[in-house]
Amino acid sequence: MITKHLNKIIVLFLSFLAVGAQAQTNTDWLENTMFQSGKINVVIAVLGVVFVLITVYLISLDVKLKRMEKDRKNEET
Amino acid sequence: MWHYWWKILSAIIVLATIIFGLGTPLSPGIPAVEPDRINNGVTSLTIKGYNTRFTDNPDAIKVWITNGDATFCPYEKTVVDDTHIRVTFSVTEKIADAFFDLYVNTPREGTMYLPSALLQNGLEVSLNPDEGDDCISTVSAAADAFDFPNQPILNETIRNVFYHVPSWFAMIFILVVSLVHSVIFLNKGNPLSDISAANAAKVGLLFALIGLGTGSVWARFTWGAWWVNDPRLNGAAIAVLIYLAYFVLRSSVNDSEKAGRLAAVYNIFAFVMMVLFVLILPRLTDSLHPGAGGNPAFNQYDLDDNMRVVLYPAIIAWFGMAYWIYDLKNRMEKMKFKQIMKDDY
Repeated sequence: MITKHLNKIIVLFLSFLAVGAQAQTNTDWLENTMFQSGKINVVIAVLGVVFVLITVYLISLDVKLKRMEKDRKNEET
Repeated sequence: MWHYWWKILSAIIVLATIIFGLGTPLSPGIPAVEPDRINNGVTSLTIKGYNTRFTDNPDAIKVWITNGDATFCPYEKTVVDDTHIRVTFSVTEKIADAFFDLYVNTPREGTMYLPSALLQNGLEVSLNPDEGDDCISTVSAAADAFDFPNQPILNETIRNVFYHVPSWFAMIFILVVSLVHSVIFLNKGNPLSDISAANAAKVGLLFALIGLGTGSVWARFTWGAWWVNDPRLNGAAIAVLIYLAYFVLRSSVNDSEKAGRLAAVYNIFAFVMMVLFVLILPRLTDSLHPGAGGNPAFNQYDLDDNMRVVLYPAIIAWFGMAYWIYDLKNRMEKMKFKQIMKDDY
């Protein structure tokens, strides 16, 4: 399942990397966004980190569960 | 359905802490003053307010700066709009420190204070400076309102307390769950307890990563770097490494009985080290985190009462969320284990 989509994942990862590199060269943009309106965007970013990490964990749990279900199905047949 | 109640309750409380944590206004404050240095002679400054309404009663506003025991009053003061005041100071006297503190007092907002607001530039620093003018009004509090304190540098990011701190509490809670299962395993030798302990430690690691991630973002825009050499940060990183070693140890021994025993003993050691590195050592030294030499979340001087109202439910709710995630993982892994056992015999 993952190997089938591996090239897509790699492309996605590289594009994130490219965006990240862009942001690195232009930190003014980041600082300006984060420091405006009393730094409220830092709070949004922190909530985003919580959400993203929990979601990534749930996805990994889902993948494991899928694999278990598949194994069980194979045994039954 | 009835046994879902604590899961739904936790989710609702987390949602409520997000709504109240973001929706409650910040108390008025002075985030910045421009320029941030004061020259020998005449200096004009623009004071920036946040959530202030300076035009309400411009004549009643008092502005003063202090340096050591000395106080200096502006000889000119103009309210530009709700969030800007222009003041002109004339400072030629000797001063005690390099930094001036700024005070703004208004009838509506009370006394707002910006420590180390201004750096002296070309002023004579003396051990025994002359006393300055005496224009200060009595320091007063703002009218009662449900709001969060407006701290210099922190500003709105003080709300992160509701999302950063509970993840560490949740980590400690779920590692206690892990510890309890390890002790049960050592007593009874049931392999399911060993699986529970490992799963709880994994969820603990997830919450440690959330704590480190949120803390890192917060630190970047308040302390100025993604990672600073703060005892609490380094302690948390060491605790994460100690728990990573637990997983390595558990999976490196082939005999599952032996692996379980070794891992359970190591888990007890890891928990003690975690408490030492996360809870005890950072309190013994100076730290950028609040609460050196105390309990920051329960100390009356470190946490505002209005923030407690949101933080404590948030901690309880994240206990529930952590246990829920652990429960899902645990049920899954136990099912897998039973399946393997059935296949073997």
